[in-house]
Amino acid sequence: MNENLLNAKILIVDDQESNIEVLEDLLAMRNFSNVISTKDPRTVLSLVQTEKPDIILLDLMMPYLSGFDVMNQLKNEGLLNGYMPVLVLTADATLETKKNALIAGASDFLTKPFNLSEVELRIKNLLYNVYLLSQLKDQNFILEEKVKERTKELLHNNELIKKQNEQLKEIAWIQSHVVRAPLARLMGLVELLQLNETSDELGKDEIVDFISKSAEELDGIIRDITLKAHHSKIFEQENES
Amino acid sequence: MKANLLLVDDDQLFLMLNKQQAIFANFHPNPITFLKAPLALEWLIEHDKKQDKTLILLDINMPDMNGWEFMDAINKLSLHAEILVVLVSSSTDPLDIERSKHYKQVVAYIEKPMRQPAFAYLKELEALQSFF
Repeated sequence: MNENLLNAKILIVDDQESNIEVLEDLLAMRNFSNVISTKDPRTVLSLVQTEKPDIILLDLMMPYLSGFDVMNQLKNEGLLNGYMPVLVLTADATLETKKNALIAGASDFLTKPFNLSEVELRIKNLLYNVYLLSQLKDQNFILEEKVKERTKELLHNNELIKKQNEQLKEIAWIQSHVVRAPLARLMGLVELLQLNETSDELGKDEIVDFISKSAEELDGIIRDITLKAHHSKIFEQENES
Repeated sequence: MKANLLLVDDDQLFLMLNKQQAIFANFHPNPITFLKAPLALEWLIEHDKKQDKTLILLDINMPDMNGWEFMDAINKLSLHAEILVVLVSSSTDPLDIERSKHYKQVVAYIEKPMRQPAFAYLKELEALQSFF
């Protein structure tokens, strides 16, 4: 249903043809253009299912099925859910009747004989309530969709962080196991030089040569790590443009 | 040191360094070096005598057989000699240090390079007193 309430589909249910005609005339005078009707209450359920009216104007005293019976049928089918109000038409305006109709699922009452302004106001009020309710439902749907979208984004970012953590762990492992080997060689060799402790196997020239090789090895490893970090874009935000 | 000293490392330079430092520190006059852990294992089997004591300075990360596998093999062989191990690794990985605590023959975990203070520390270690 849209904001223009005059387009709403109205179903009139009354066993008296004259009542239907009066209501149709009144509604036409107020520019309601989408009105259907039935004199047989037994057809209401199938009409509701096929025509999907926005509001039902329902008589209470009818043969075969009373207005209460019709509301019970609709309730059992889950059709009295707030999105299709029932406006009860009755000549019996007692409190007891009104109470029973409300319990049965009616939204409001119209007392016979009908008054043009009252008919228009009550119908428009009920339709406007339905319109607001459906707006609220739409808003909730939009909000739920936004929450779903944000949750998806968060999960994606979480995965990204996990991946980056794995890469950082890998670099930490390389630092611990690969970088430290040539570094440890350098430290050991330097101490031998400091102690002036050389041997035939490891003379001063050999020590200096090994220091040079270890330093080059270390340099190569550090360059590899830099390249690896660069390729994996580990320090960049993926969604940065 | 009256016990045997075995140096096991797949890196030739570390073997030379450790040997030279061990001699210079008067830790052992004649350490035996192995570039491959299986060769050290063969030596242990060949020289297995009940009264013998052997200390092994063992690298962890080696191809073919790493330090952990080497120690597992020693435990399965139930050798007669008393064998103790000092793990020597360039790794400062806390997981390695934690893992080393599960091997009964490990008396110390030392980060490479083995320098003079490391040998001095081992000389003071209570578990190794009977080896000197």
